[in-house]
Amino acid sequence: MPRHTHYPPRQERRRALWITYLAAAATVTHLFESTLPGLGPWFKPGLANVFALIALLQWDLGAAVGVTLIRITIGSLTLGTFLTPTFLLSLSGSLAALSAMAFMVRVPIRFGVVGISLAASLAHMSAQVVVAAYVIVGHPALLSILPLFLIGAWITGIGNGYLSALVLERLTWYHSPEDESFGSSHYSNHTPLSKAGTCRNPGARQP
Amino acid sequence: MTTSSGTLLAFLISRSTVADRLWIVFSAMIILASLWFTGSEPGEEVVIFRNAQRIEALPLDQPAKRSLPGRLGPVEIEIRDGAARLREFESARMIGTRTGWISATGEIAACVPCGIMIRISGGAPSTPTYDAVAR
Amino acid sequence: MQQPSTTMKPRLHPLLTFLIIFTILPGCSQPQTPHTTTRLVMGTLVTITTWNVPEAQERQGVADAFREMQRIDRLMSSHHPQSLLSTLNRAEENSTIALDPELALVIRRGVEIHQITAGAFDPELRALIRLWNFSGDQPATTPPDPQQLASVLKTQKKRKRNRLINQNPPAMSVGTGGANLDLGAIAKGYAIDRAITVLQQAGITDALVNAGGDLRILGSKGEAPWRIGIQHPRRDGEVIAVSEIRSDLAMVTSGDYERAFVHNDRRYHHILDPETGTPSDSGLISVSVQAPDAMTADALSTAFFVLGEKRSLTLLPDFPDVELLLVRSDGSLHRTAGFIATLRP
Repeated sequence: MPRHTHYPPRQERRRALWITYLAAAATVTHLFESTLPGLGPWFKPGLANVFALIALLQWDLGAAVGVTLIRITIGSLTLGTFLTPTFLLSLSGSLAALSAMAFMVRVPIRFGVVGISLAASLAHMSAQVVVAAYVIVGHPALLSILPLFLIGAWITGIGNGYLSALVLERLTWYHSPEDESFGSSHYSNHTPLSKAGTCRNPGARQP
Repeated sequence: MTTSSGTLLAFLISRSTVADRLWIVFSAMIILASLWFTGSEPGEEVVIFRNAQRIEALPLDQPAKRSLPGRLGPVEIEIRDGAARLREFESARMIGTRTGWISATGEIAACVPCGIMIRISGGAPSTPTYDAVAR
Repeated sequence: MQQPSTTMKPRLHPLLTFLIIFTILPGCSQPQTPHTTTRLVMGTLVTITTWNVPEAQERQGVADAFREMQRIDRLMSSHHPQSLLSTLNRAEENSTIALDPELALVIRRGVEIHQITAGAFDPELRALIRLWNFSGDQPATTPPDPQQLASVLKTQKKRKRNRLINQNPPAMSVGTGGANLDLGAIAKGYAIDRAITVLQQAGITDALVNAGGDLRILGSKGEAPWRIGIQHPRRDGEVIAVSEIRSDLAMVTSGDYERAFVHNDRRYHHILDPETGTPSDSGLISVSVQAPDAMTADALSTAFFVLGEKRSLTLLPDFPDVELLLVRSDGSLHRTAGFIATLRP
C-alpha cells in the first residue's frame, strides 16, 4: 500500500506507535459497535472509521490502511467472524472507504475532514451493499435498499467527519515545537487541509 | 435555544470547507434522486420456480420471454413494462393465465399442475391487507 | 481562517449532539415484518409465514416444515402411484395389511368423522373421485357417463368397508374391491398440522402455514393478530369476513368455487356427496371451519358442506372447539358464536 512520505527515523517510530494506538482504539470501537443492535447487520455508525480518517490526516494513507486492516483482522478474530461473510462485508466496505479517502485528498479541490469522511462513509455503504447483493445473497434486488442505507451513511459520514475534526483539534497538543515544521510541510504536500483550518493547524498555535 | 443552535451552526460551518458543504448538498441530492427512482418501483425481478426449485430470476425492467417445459406442455413467461405474466396452454383451470399481469413485490402467478410458478421479488415489500386468505 | 480560540467554546454542544445522535441511531430498528416463503408442495401453493424469528433459525425451520409436508404427500397422496396410500389401494380385498402408524392415525380420524357425520365425509371414495377427476393433471370438463356413475355408486354402497383391526402395530382389513382410500379431504390438514409441529420444534412460536387457503396459525405478530380474509365465494379478490387471530387455531374453508367446470350451462363443483355421487347440493356454497387442528377442520369443512346448514348445526355439539361460518346459496351467512371473524357488509 502507498507510503507517499518518507519520514525521519524519529517520526518513523512515532508513526508506527500512532498506528498502533489508533488501531487499538479503532478495534475497541469496532467491538463496541458490534454489540449495538443497529439497523440490520450493515448499518452501524461506523465510528471505527474515524480512526482511519485520523491516521490519514495525521500521517498518510499507509497509516490509514494499517489501522483499518488491524482493526478488521483483530476485530473479526475476536468476534469469531474472521473470513465469514461479515468479515468480507467489513473488508470490502473499509477498502472502498480507504479508496474514497485517498481519492478525496488527491483531487485538486479543498475538501475538509467532513467531506472526506462523507465520501468514505458513502463508499463504505455502497461497497457493502454491492458485495452483499452479488457475492453473499446473489440477489441484485438487494441493491434497491442502497439509497435508503445511503441516507444513514450520509448522516453518519458527516457526523463522523465533525467528530474527527474535533479529535484532530485535540491532538494538536501532541505536536511539540520541533515537529511543527515537519507537520506543516507534510500537510502542504498533498492536501490543503491545514489552510482550510478544518483539522490540525499547528501554525495557529504560535503567537 | 437560538444561541445554542447558532453556536452549533457556527461550529458546523467552521469545521468544513466550501467544497465540503457543496459535496454534502450534492451527495444528498444524488441520494434523494436515487431514492425517488427506486422507491417508485414496486418490484425488481421475476423469480421463476419449477417443481419447487428456483431456476431463474429475470429483471422486471427488461422485456423478456421464456418458454418452459411444464408437466402439461409449454408455459410461457412474459415480462413487459415492469410487469410479468405466466401463460399456460394446457391447463384445465388456467389459473396462472387468469392471474394476468403481476408487478408488485410478493405477487405470484402459478400453473400448479405444470409445476411452474413466478414470483415478483425485490423492491420495498408491500404490506398485504391479509396475512392469508382462507378459501 | 478559523482561529481555534473562537471555536473552543461551543465544543461541548456538538459533542453532546454527536453523543445524542449516536445513542439514538442504533435504537431506531426497522419495523419487524412477517417473513414469507412459498413453495409448490402437495399440488398446491404452500406459504409459510413467520414473524420475528432469527434468519438462520427461520430458514432451517421453514425448510424442515416444507420437507415434512413433502414427506406426508409421499405417504398419503392419491395422485402419486408411488405413494404409500397408492400401495395400500392396490392390496387385495379381504386381505389384512399392516399400516404405517401415521397413515393409520389419519385413516382412523377419517373413519371417526365418517361415522359421526353419517357418511357425509368419506375417506373411501377413491373410485368416485377418480371418475369425476376434478384434481388430476388433466381435470375433466364433462360429467361422467350416468351409467358408469350409477355402477360406481352401486359398488360403492354395497361394498364391505375397510376395518381398522389393530392398534399396535396398526393393521387394516381391506374391504370389497380394494381399500378405495382417498385422503384428499383430510391429509392436507394433517400435513399442515405436521408442518406446524416442525416449526414449533424449531423454536418458532409465531407462524402461519397456508396450504392453498387451508391454514393453521401459531401465536401472533407480536402485538398484532394474524389477519385472515375469508374468500368471497362469488367475487374474486374479495373477502366476506376477516378473522383476527392471535392464538393457535386452524381454519379450513370448503367452497363450490374452488374447482369446477361448466357443462351444458350446468356448473359442476368438486365437493361430491357420497350419497348421490354428484356435486353436493345442500344449499351451502362455502363452509369455513375453525378448529384446534387442521386435520379436523379439513375433514369437517367437507362434511358440513355436504350435510347442509341444518344437519351441520345439529352435529356441531359432537365436536367441541369447532366453530362454523356458513354461506348459503343466496349469499346470506350463518356464524356460530365462537367463530372468530368480523363480517364484511
